[in-house]
Amino acid sequence: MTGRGARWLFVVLLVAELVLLTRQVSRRGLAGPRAEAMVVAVLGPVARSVVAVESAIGGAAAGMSTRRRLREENRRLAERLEAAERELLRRQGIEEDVLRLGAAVRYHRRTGTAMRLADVVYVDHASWLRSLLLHVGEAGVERNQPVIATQGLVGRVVVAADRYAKVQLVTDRASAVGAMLERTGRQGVVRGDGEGGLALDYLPLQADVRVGDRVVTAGIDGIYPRGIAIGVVTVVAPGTQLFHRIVVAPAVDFALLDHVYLLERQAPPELVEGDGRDLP
Amino acid sequence: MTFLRILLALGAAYVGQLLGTRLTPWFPALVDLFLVVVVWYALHTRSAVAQLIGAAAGLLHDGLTGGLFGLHAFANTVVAYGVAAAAQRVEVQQQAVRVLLFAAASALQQGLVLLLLLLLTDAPDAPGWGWALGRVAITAMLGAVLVGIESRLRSRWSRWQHARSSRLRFR
Repeated sequence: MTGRGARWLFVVLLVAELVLLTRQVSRRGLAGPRAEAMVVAVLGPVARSVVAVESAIGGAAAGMSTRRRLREENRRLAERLEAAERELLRRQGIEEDVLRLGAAVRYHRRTGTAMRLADVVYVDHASWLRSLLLHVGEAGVERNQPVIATQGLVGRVVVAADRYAKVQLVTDRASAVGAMLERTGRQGVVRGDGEGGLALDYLPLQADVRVGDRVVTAGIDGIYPRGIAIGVVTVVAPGTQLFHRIVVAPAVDFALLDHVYLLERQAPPELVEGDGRDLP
Repeated sequence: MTFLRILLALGAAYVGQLLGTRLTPWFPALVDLFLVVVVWYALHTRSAVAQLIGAAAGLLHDGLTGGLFGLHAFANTVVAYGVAAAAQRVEVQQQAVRVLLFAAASALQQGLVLLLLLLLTDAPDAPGWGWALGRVAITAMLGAVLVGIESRLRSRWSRWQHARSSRLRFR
């Protein structure tokens, strides 16, 4: 190709790429770019195979040396399981009370959100444009499906590609989650600070916020159900306007993610039946 | 054959990027193997081929990263075009110049991605200066390693050819 031909190709490529980019901006919130879904669908299996081979080699090499550590870990996990079972029994009692009280006021709360396991194929939580790639299996996945780990909220699906999905992490600056303080119920919005942490915005200066307060999803954004742990307040300072500046440490350690859970999308979780006139 | 080599290089970059991220979480913040492949080919092939490799490598990279899809494709296409143009105009046989081109390509790519994010999104993430400079330095280092290996192989090849031709002359 001549110099002029190369210049034309350059212009054509740049225009095509700009169209691809601007279409995503103008259609934000709707379907993600098909091209990205195709790339993820094609390269997902490659990534999964690489990770599987690497894990197998690493696992075989480390197998002998970790035996003692695993035995110790097993003992600790058994103790934790016992404690968790005790806690579960206690919470079952509380749940029964809540359901009984709810029935008295005709307040229905959907319980037992369906979850399914997904393998982490690639996680980049430290770089500038962080992302998470999942293998979700044959059941597929939907855009905006919430993703959680055992410790708390991970993010939401932004690209659904057959058996693979790309997730926007909660620490992404473009991410926004309706949140509330568990202790007081005060609601705000959690955003990623772009450096791996979180910020809780729109809490007025008169709101009671303390370091150590747990932040959970409020269930007001139409994506995340209520009550999923997001993190813990680590810094409370007066902001520039009428709001606190609140820093939240994420509940999830993204470096340790091996598998996550996809929450099945549901209708809004709570509703009051009737017009409420006959409530006590 | 060339096409296969390009595919292998891109595949190696993809696998390297995956394994690097498994080894250390800071790998993707500091290392961009796709860019190294793009600059390498921009120095060694025609501008048009380099641009296509830039776009392909960028799309592969975009498949792994968050943010808008096509950011790296755009940036890598510009980088490929720029490096190929520089390679035609400047004396790039000197190793130091080649290494500098790797560093400049990294700086240009990061600048372009940031510029696109500023133009297209409300709340763009930006890398810290330390990370950006670290990435430039590591790209230059990887470039230096590749350039070093290439020059060593070239000199070994020319020695072998010289020895072979002198043997033939004696017969």
